[in-house]
Amino acid sequence: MASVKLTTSDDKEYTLDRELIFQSNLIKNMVTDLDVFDAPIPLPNVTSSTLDIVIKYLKIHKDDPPPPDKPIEKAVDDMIDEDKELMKLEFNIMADVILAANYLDIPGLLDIGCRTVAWHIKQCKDYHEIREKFNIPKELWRSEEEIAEMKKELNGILG
Amino acid sequence: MDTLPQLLVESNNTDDQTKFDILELPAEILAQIFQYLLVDPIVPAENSEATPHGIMLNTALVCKKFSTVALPLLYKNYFVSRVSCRFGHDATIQLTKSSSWYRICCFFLACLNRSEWGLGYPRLFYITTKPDMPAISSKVKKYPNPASKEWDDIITCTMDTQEVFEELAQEDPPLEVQENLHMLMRYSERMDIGSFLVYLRHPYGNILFRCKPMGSYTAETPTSYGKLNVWDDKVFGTCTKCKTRLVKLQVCADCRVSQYCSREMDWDSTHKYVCKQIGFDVPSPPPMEDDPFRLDPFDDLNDMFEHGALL
Repeated sequence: MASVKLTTSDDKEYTLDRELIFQSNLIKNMVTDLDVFDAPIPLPNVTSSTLDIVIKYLKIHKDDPPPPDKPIEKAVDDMIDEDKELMKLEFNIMADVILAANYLDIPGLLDIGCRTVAWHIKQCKDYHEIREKFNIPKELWRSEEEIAEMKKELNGILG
Repeated sequence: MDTLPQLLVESNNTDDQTKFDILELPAEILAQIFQYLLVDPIVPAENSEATPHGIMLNTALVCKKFSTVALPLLYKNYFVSRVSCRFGHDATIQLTKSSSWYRICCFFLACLNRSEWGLGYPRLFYITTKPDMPAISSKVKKYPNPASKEWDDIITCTMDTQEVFEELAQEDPPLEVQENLHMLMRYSERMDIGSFLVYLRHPYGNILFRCKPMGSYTAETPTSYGKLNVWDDKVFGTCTKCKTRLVKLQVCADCRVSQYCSREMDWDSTHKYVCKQIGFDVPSPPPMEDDPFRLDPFDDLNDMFEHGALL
């Protein structure tokens, strides 16, 4: 079976089956368009620890049929258990995984990443909790007066 | 070379490394995350704010980056959810899926906030500035609330529908007309109480919508619940169940929304289960101060009793 070589930003080299890594549209297009088979493909935006998680995802989903083009409609709870297990990550790692999925163009992984973040936001009762949970730095917070003003304006609009 | 590992160790020890995570995501990914906040309808009972809109509102208040992404999504979802459409034309169904649908919903709701709409004969609203869509989209961007006064200058209201149609028909036809929408301008005393007409020039063709607010009116809520039923003319005047064109317009006496060709079609169907949700209270014009022609809110009810509609 033909394989594809990848190099991560921290100079680790991976050799993966084509079928596995071709779930990434970026790699698929690169390999089929440019005909690069032997030279390793550099991934300057992806670290090896992130790629490990991405590969785990690819292994879970290697037998999936190609995803249909459909809008976001499914609820968060529709995720399969393996994906839920995979997404039990620190937020900074999860953000890296989402960015890597976006960069490598793996729609399925991007999708479950976004859903998981949405699920975490949903567990918060108010904006203080969201700030705490996601470690939003204090200098980016809106002031309390600003928030009161925004709330008033929004309540006027949303009724 | 020695300094590099040191730097790494340092950054591992401080909390700075975990500071940026979700904020590093580009806006389009944040938007995708926030979309999920709006789709999932699970509502924990003990937390009253935890409607999708409530969660979105909280998210918008977190920081500036969140609000620039979350607020447009929130407005969009909110105003589109205010309009429930009953469309039959392929062109109008396509329209609801297009990106301009949100702006059109805002335009409907802006018309609802004008005082002219409820006075007897249905009023026709249309947009005066040309071309139409940029006018609405700039309003939506600048004044997200369709209830604000700034919307007034693009909306024109008329009672003389025939003249306006003739006038508009003489203008250049819109580009890329995909389907000629035929306009049914039939007015029914019983059907059209409290409704208004919206005429839209759009690349899909010229479209006439009938809008009817849901719910009842009080002095505090002059636009009822701020929700609209909107028909296009393929569906208006046809039986809700068997889809045949009605010679004589008949309407469910309770909700005044669903239309039926016969009694049997009406109550034998599942309509009775949804009737009250569609709007039990009979739409009537909002009461106005010092209006000598102000309608008695019970007039409609009396009228219905006389016609035997409630029997």
